[in-house]
Amino acid sequence: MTSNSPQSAVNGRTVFIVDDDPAARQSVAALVAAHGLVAEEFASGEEFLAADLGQRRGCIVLDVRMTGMTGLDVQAELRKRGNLLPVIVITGFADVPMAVRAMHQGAFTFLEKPSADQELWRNIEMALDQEQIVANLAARKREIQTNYETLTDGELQVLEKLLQGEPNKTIAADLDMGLRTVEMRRATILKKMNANSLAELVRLVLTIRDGK
Amino acid sequence: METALAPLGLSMSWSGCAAGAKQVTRQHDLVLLDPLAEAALWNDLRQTTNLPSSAPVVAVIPREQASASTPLLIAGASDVLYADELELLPRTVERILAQRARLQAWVTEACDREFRDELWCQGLKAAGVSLWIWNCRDGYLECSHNMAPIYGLSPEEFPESSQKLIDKIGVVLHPNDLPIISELFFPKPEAENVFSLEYRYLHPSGDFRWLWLQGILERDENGIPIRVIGVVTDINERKQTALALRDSEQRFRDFMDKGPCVVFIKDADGRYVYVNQMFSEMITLPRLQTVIGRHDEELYPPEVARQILERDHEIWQTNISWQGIEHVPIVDGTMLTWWVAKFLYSNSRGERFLGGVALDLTEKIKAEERARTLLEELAHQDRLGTIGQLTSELAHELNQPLYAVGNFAEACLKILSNPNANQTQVTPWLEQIQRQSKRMSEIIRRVSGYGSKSAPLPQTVKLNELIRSCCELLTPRLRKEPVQMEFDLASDLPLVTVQPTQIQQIIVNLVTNAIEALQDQPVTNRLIGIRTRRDPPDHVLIEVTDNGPGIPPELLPKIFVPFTTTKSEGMGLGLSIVRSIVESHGGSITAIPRQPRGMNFQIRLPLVAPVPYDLQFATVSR
Repeated sequence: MTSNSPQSAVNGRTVFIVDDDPAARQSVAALVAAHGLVAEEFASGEEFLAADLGQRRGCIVLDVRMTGMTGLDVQAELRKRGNLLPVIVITGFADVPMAVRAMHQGAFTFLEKPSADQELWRNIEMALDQEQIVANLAARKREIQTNYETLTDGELQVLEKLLQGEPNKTIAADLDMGLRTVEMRRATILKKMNANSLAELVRLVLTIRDGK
Repeated sequence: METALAPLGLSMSWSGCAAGAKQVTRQHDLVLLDPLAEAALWNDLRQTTNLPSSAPVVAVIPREQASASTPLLIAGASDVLYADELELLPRTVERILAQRARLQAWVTEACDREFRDELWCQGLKAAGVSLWIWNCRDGYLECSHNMAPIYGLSPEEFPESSQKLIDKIGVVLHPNDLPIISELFFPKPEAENVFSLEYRYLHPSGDFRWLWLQGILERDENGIPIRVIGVVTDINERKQTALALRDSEQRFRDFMDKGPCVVFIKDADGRYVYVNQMFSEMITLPRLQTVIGRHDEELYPPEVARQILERDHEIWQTNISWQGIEHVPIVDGTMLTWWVAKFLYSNSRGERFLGGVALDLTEKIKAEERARTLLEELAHQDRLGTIGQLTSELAHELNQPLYAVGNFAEACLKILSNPNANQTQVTPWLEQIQRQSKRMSEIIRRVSGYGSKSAPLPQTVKLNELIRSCCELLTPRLRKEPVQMEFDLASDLPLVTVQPTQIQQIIVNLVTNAIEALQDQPVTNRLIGIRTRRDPPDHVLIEVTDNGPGIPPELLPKIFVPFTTTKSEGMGLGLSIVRSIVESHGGSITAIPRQPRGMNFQIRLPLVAPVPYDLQFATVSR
């Protein structure tokens, strides 16, 4: 870790810069600082991967051609570790296969050195916006999950039927319980899940179940 | 017969046989002989009568045997009489005796006056001169005894009789000289009275030697030649020397006139005393007809003459021979470039001269210039090719600072647009912009320098710096591969005078080759080394090594030959250009396989590269 105190970045967001050319690295840091944000510099991919980012927020500006690990290798490793920070891949010598690989690995964008007027900064901003959205989404997901975990087994039984689109009467018959009970549990579920309608409930549950 | 002889007052003694005849001695005045009866006696007589003035012999033969008279006369008979005309004998005898008396008188006189004079003989001997007298009327030759050694004979061998002398001398004369000798012995009425001639004779050693003959022809009151008196001198040594001199002069002329050089000799006043044929043909203006006796001012334009005279003056002053280049026009006005050597020398009289030899180098210089231009053109193309191959790396190399400059500038603008921001923070960024601009111009300078045509004249530079700076050109390539580069540059390296770009090209080509050789090797084991060392007394050694697979042994002898290549792309000119450059610097290059693997290219360069002729003297206007 080359500069800037991570202390100030703990609560805010940090632009992580990985480039083996000091001038290139410092120039990005200057740009970030000029916009009032915090940057952290890393002189190689290895150094960057060695730093524990934990849950830190921000975005990564990653140079492709470096001595040692290439930027694309670093990107692949980050993805493997489940780090979701948006990565701006940047290179002084681009070719199509390189760009394709970067995008396949989920790069936020792929830029060439030197970048066009303010292109880098615009992309940093956009990456940070996206990161914000992703972060919000994650927070929302965590909230839904928490709510979901408060449901009782009986409520979960009803929920499954609701997700399948069964009317209350059918649920009552299927689960061998009174219609009233079903209606009560349905109201509880909506309340616990903080949903206003059955449609919203379905969307929330699908959000946390997505990809599982 | 006795009756016939009585009136002459001669006495006679008779001998009826050969044995008796042997007693014939010099006191006998005359021998009459019947050769047919006494053939053997005749022969004996000739052998017995060994006097220079042998007793006259009159042969008497029958008329019917007339044909025998000729051989008898040839054999030395004074006369031949037929037996039936013995009445003519008195007249014959009279004539013979008169002749003989004259001869004896002459011999006596000569002997008294000259030959018997010991001092005179000694003098002749000392002078190496031999005296001779030829009596034209009687065909009688007499000479001093020191003639023997002149003909390479011992005195004992030397014939005393006139006839034997003539025989002896006659057969040893050179055939070509016989006519002049016979003219001498049988002078025509109009012959010169004083003569001098040289002739050759066959010395017993087997060689023809030269004699010099001088003499005077004496005539009687009617102008009829009487006798020739002369001296003979052995002039062989002198003649040989003269001949050798003539050969040497001929050789000199042939050398001067058939050789490829212009040759001239000037005296102390700067006047031409000798020029060879080529000088006359190439330089002598037709209106001058000859340059002998003329000055350079009459031959050349003032500026040319002035330069020549300045040089000559220096040589006269210092007496130091000079070699160098002069630009001198020929008859048609064409200015030629000559290699000239000038020197002083003296003749036997102590007179001093300035000699000179000049060779027209114009064509040679032009050819050298063409070859040099060609090499430079080829080398230039090769460098451009290298830059072409490096384009992407160089672009990356430039993009880095360009990217940084863009970002720093943007950051500065951002801060400056915000009045509340801390303006001082832009200072280091602006400094960075400055630094990065410099970095870019450095790269561009390096590339454009390498890609430019090299300066014609060698420059004095630090070799290590030259090597380092061209390796920077390759840095991006080395980083991309990646290949590790190790420098081992001697700190005590003297300055070298070379064509910097061309030396860089050597390094770039060799390192590029090495990089390509290393491509199939693991990334961790790719090593290129550059080493410099002094190579006393006046060379430097540059080594470029790699640990690649090396060059196949069968290809090794050919690698410097153009169009030899192991690569799929490329013309195979790289190493041949390297060698041409090294050689044009007066150096050498060898490729040595390393153990256990890899190559070592060793380049030896002189500290000062030779300057091509055309550039060396380019200062003089043409």
